[in-house]
Amino acid sequence: MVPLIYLPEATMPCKKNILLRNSRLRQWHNLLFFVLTILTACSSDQQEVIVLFENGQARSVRIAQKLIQDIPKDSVAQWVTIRLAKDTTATNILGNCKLTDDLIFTPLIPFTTDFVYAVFIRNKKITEFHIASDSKVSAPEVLAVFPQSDTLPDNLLKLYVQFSASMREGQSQKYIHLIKNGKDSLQNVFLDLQPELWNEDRTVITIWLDPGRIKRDLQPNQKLGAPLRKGDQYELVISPPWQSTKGIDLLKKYSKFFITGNRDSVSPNPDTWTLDLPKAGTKTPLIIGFGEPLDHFLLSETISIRDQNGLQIKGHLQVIENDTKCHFTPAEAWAEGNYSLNSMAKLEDLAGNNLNRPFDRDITQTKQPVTKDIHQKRFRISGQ
Amino acid sequence: MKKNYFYFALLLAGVALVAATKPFAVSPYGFTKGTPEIKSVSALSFGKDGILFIGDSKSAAVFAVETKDTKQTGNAATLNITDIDQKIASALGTTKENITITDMAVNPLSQKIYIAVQSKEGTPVIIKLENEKMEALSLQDVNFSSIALNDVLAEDAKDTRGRPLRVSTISDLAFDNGKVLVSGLSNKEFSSTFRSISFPFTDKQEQASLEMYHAAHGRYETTSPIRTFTTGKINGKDYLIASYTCTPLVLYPLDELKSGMHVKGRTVAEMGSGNTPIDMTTITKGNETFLLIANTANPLAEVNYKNIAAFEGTLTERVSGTAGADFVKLPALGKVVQMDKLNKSHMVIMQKKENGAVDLFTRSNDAL
Repeated sequence: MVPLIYLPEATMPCKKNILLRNSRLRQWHNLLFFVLTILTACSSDQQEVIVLFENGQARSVRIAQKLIQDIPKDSVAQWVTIRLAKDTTATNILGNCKLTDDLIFTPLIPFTTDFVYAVFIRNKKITEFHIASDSKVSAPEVLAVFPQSDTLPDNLLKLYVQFSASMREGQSQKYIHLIKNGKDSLQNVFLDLQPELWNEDRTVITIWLDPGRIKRDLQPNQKLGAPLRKGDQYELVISPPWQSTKGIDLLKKYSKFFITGNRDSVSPNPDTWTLDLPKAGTKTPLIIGFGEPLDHFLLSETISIRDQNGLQIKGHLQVIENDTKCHFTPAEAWAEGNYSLNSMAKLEDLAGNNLNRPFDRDITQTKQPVTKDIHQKRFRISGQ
Repeated sequence: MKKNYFYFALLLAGVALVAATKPFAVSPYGFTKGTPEIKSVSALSFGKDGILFIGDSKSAAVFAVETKDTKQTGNAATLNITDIDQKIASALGTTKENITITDMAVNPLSQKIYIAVQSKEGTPVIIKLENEKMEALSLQDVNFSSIALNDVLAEDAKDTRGRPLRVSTISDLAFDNGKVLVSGLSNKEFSSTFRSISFPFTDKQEQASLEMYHAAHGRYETTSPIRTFTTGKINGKDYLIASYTCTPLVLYPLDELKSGMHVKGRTVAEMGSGNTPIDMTTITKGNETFLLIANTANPLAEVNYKNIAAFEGTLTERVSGTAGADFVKLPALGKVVQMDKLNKSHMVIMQKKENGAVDLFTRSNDAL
């Protein structure tokens, strides 16, 4: 195998060496290794293959000019190919070739950590290279599970799991489980949804308990019953080796324990919410009490405070007390006047009842659903 | 003579001016040339003239890309590729555990198969299959256009830096009668969004955001996100046939789906418990039309359109097992993970086998 050269970061702007980084000692080591390798390569006329990293990923490989100098430039992409070292089917990896003095091959997806690849020139293997893992990347952990309360309605609709790093998609059915009363691992409680529902940076996943089992009278509900039963104890388990997008296993198992209470079939009603009003001239927070926990992530997105002209008041909204209250702290002191608390209709409680309609509406019992987009609750700030 | 030179020069200047002000032919689809910044490929569907629609959940957008794959094929060769997932993975330089196949679509002109793949770290790729040969669909310097899936409440749904707050996942995408139809799931609220977008895309968006309800046994009215859908003609009328995350199969007249409407659909079947429909398409066998439904837990299900048409009411009685319009399970076709029409007489199917391998094969409609 020909020696590989991993360029120190300083010599390659925007490209990262995933093996040896940051510490001064390692930089000196890098430099020494680099010089020695160059000397070795020059003295023995051996070949050079360099893995180039971007954002911690092995994004391309540089193949030195001297390896390809006898290949016509317009045939380089045809005669210089990369394969998995273990591949027995002569499958060339799809990617793009860019020829400067050297050849840079960029596969369609980044090279996989811990895999060994082979460089073929004119269908003859000339070297292999290994994609080393980055020892500085820490293992992902579960930071929180929402809702955070330890008593939840028996028709709970969804859970959010928040991780410390971007996680690999399509794995939740394998690594998230629900254990009932300390012994039974429940089957078919979560909706097998592909694609899964992740936030943009893939650190928060939304898990739905099977809505077909929660909805009254649907066939899954009739046959399997609701996923959760009132009065039972549950342990939600998120377990290794669920990997981050960088291929690192979850550090440790995470458990959330809860018990189930009554069914919640009622829409949240802003008319019943309490407001703890601050005084004009202060930056004291407005405290909004919902009387029940609402959806953690929707809360921070759906509530705004408006002045009497409908303009949004700038400030900071903080969800507190297990999502049963919000603090709104204005950026500037409250002025005396009329305000409104605007809530978007899509705000839901833990059972998926939103401000306009319950999760499933018994048309023989309940009134027609409301259809407005915004629910307003008016209040006045005064100096008294 | 001098006068002739003058007119000739004037003519040249005129030609030059026209050439300068109108350098390129205008694309009939409003495309511009460039490299679309596609962050994910959640759904694929072909329109006319080899135009591929790409649903990008991460960008909350739909891209229309000119593939130039427009050579019409009579009947594509039959295919039987075992371990297609590992073969795709090898071509990407990894193993099948490190990729996810997110969708598959057939170009109706060339009958070539396009497969959307996502690597474990999130890089999206589209592979074009020609017989058994794989090549990447290049998205560099292509003619394309795109449209953002704006929400009705977009102004209120942005944070202080103007970023959209909610993430919409495109659960299915189809091109029908000049419109791109998109169903969406939110990572936050439990509701159904369905958009009908005119193509070519225009600055003035004509999106319909619908609130769609269906009934359970005539008593409970409920809304839920659409997992997959198709369109079809029943008794001469065009319908959206939608399958929900809570399993019912629901019909909506397409002409009733208008922006802001509270539309109530007709539940025609339930597809079984512990199961989620994942893909649907319509095929013909002889003179009859069938709806095919792929499921997470159950084998491929086949429903004769005649049965759907005959099932006039919503489900009114509690029944054991599956309910509503009669359908047939095709036991040999369990764990179908992707499918599409190859042509009028054949389907292309991706099936997960008992040993975990995924095979791709074509099958005559009559043999289903």
